[in-house]
Amino acid sequence: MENLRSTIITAILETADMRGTDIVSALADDTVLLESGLDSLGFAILVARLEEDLGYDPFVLMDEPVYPRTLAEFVGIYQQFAPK
Amino acid sequence: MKFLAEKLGTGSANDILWLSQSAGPVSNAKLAQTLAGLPLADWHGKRVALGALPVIEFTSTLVLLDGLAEAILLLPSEDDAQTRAQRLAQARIDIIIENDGIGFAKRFEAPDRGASLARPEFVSTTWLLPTSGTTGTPKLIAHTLASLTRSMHTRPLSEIYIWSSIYSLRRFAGLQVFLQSWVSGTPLVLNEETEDLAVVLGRLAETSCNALSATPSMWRKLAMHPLFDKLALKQITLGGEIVDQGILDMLAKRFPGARITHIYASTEAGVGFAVRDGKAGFPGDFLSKPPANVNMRVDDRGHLWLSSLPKSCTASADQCEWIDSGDVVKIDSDRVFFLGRANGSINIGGNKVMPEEVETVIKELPEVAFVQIRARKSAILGNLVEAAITTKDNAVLDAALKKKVIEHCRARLDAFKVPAFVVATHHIPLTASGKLSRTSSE
Repeated sequence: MENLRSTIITAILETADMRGTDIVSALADDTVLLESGLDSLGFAILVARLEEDLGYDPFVLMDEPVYPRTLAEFVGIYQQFAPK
Repeated sequence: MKFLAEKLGTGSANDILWLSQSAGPVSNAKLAQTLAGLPLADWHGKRVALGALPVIEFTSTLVLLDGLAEAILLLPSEDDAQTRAQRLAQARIDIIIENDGIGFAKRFEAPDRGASLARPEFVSTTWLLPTSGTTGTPKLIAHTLASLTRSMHTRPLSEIYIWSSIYSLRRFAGLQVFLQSWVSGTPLVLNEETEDLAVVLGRLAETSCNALSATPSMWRKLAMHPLFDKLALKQITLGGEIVDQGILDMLAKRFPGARITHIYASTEAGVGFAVRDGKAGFPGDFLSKPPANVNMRVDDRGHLWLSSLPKSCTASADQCEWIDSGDVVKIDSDRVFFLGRANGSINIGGNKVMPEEVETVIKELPEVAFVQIRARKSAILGNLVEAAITTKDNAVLDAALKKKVIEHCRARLDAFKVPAFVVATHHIPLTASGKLSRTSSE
């Protein structure tokens, strides 16, 4: 879990860096994703990057779409869909 | 309704037209009297372009000009200076209204109650709507109020709905929301294009907005927002992008009992139709039994052709004026699904990217031998932009060069056009005529 969380946070920071945007200084579990400094384009790029890093895209795998609001929910979704 | 302002005379004085942050509620009487106090002759028979304007200015100016000006051109906010100049020349524009516009928000505070409501002689206004065209070159499509509202419901709905649109009203899909609310006498909640989502959602909840239009990508973004739960919607409309089953299912679950409509509209053909059965794509029946005066057929390349002539024109009649929509479809078990644009144009959450534009920018870099811009599927925004690059002999596509490509694009292109991914390729497919191959973006 902790590993996954740090992979995700690294990817968030790299995505922001690539796009020349700033991320709020302290990403916490209850940080609202849309208020973290990533816009929806940044979020879509983040999900695509994570697919390269982790080998899966939970938003494609899920039968019923779930839209995460906070960082913790986002990490939770990746946790849930991680290959067993 | 011959022209937009004519509607002001038919409703009751206190009917609310718009709910606006800057002007508060705008009633029928308030708008009618404000328009009456303006020097209407200044715009009579003129060709007028609307540039970037606050949304209340935009809607008020449309009502002012329709039936008064000879032509109204809606300038896209993303045009560069050269394209803008081309469009202005092409449309032979006399007057540009932009920035603060005519100052309606201020005029609403003190409408001229004594002014005569008489208008100069009616002019049939041509609405010029820009598209990127099937080849990506800027193009203007001529419409009239009648052609734009042809397939709209005219029964009054003011008791039932309060509408709003998340997409810009100057886009074709947003314009449809504006016109539909106007035609059916439904209050419309106005949002600025650049407003923060939290502000917009707060306003929609506060005004009891219950009918909302947005692109599928925007609906996904709304669903990620904590204030999404505050919405109580009876009518949900999606348009501007290919609609997938996932988003329809999410909305049906979140808003049980709401009517969910997805709209297909073609600026080129000036027609559209609605699908309400909760499924992606549209019923194959539509090809033989056309909905709302839109005849359709699919050619052997999978292109969807449209004809907007009246019912007398059937799919078998060659006399119809058929227009290639440029959309590629596939037919699967009596359902027609959209695959993408034939010209390779990539739809990023409702924003269209022409591959050639991005390729031209990347080719400026000395390390690049060939580049192809292509779509990469995204469950969040539909597609993302990917640049496939072959480097010249002495260059390697390492992290530094990838970064250079992205920064080069970022300095020259809108954010949604900048490649999200840069990958190396040794094989870039060319067509027989030596052009980059752009098969449909499936």
